[in-house]
Amino acid sequence: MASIFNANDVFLYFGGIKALDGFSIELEQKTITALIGPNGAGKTTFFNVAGGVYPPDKGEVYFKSERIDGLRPDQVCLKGLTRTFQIARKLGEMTVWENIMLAPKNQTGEGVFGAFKFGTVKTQERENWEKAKSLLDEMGIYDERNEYAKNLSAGKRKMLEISRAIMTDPELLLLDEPTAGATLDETKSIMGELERLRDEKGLTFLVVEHKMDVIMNLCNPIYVMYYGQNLAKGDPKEIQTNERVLEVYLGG
Amino acid sequence: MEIFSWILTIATIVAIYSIMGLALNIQFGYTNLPNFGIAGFFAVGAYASAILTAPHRFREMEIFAGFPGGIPGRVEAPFIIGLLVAIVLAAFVAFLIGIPLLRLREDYLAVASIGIAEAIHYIALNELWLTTGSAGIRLIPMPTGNRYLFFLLVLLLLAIAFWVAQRFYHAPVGRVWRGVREDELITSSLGKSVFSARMWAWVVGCAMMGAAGSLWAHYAMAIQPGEFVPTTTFLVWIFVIVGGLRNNWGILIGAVLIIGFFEQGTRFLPDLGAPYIMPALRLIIIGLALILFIRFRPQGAIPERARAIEEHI
Repeated sequence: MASIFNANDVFLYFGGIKALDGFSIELEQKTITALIGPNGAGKTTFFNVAGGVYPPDKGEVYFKSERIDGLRPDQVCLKGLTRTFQIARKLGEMTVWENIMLAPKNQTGEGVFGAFKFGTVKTQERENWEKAKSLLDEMGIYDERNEYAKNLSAGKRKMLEISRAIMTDPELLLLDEPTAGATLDETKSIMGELERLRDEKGLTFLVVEHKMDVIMNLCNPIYVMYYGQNLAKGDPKEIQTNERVLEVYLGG
Repeated sequence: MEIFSWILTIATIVAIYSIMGLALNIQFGYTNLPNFGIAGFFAVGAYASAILTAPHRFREMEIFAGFPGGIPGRVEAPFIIGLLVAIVLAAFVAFLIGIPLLRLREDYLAVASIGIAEAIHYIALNELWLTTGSAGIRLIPMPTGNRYLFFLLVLLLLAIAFWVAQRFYHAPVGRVWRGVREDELITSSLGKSVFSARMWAWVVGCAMMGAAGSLWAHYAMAIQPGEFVPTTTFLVWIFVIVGGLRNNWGILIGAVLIIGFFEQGTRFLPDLGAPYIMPALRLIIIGLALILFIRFRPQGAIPERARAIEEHI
């Protein structure tokens, strides 16, 4: 299997704190990889480095064998890597459908002059909405399409955020706690959606998650992170029996 | 007939201010760029248009006795050239200023933009060779030669500005701008360049302010630097907030209420004992209206209204 993404020996310091201390990871195509670790291990920081929010102090990040560290978030996204946020961030004073329709790439109407190519814009809007419609339906937020995003429940916000990320048509999705705040049913439909996207569209995922049942059923392999470093890597069975992991999680 | 004449005057002023209100809405209402330098871009447009269109004989006037060869660059161009150059120049100045300015956070942007506008005001006041300083520029031609027709011209340009502003709101570009307003990090993580979105909204808005300046110059037929002070900027802000930030219809209502009734309409009320009472009272009432709106109806008279997808497609 081919690797689609790898980070080699990434360092990031905040003042004297080593947020990432030589962390490395490699993602195989069409897998759902988990990234776990205790709070403060550096998982979200790593997402920020991979997503272009911070350039790393040392180390390289490759996506589709192209170097992406140092690019801006929008440039990273245009290359086919979309990430979501831990606390579902939302465009609150915009409707759910506007949130979703913001995401597709290369919209003609996004230019000041392109906005006046009425025919093209209308066609693209209709095409994008057709895609968005079935996605919203699967994620169970179709009925809220005309609602302001700020009025959604925490779980539905997560659904919105994941739908929005999918609408950018990525090849690799970095999901920061996709099921946090979601109900049991919502968690199941998120998990189902990820598996479907992997199998049907060949998407690759890196998932930060705290719910062990989600990780053990959905993800393989699993990377464990601790104080900005790699602690372990393996399939769910290996991780569950790895002594160092148990020590870190249960305090030995 | 006299009453008709001053209604016409007020209506023209309201329409010109409305264009600035729509421009501020694009910048602040859509994109969260608090532009407190409106008067500066208004001045750029007004001076560009005035310098290009005012007649040659102006240079023989007594105030230029000391300038050998008179003032350069009096080209007596037609109004349409003045208007177009005003728009393009305001956009260009906005672009140059925007390169450093738009990297600032909202509050610093607000402060810096006031400074820019004041700098433009002082350029108009001191660069005598170009602007004739505090004497101002006179004999600017009114293109239609007739105030009624000019009002129709202003109305036409207001209609175009309104249509453009509405189109931007509903088109994908407005969605990106509002995305930047709501959360820059999300919007950039969805592949949109935040800086370029901010720059376009800034340039488009400032170009509209420049167009308003050109109309103002040709309507008033004389301009001088004292008109382009922060008070002009604040008036636009006040009626935009009262009328309904983020809603273009609200902005028109706000312009009629604040600029039409209070700022201009009260000029014709009788003096309350002394001639200085009314102007002071006027500003007090406008200030009070602003405070009451911010306290009790911050979304303005007509708030933002989201379209349903069924309406949009």
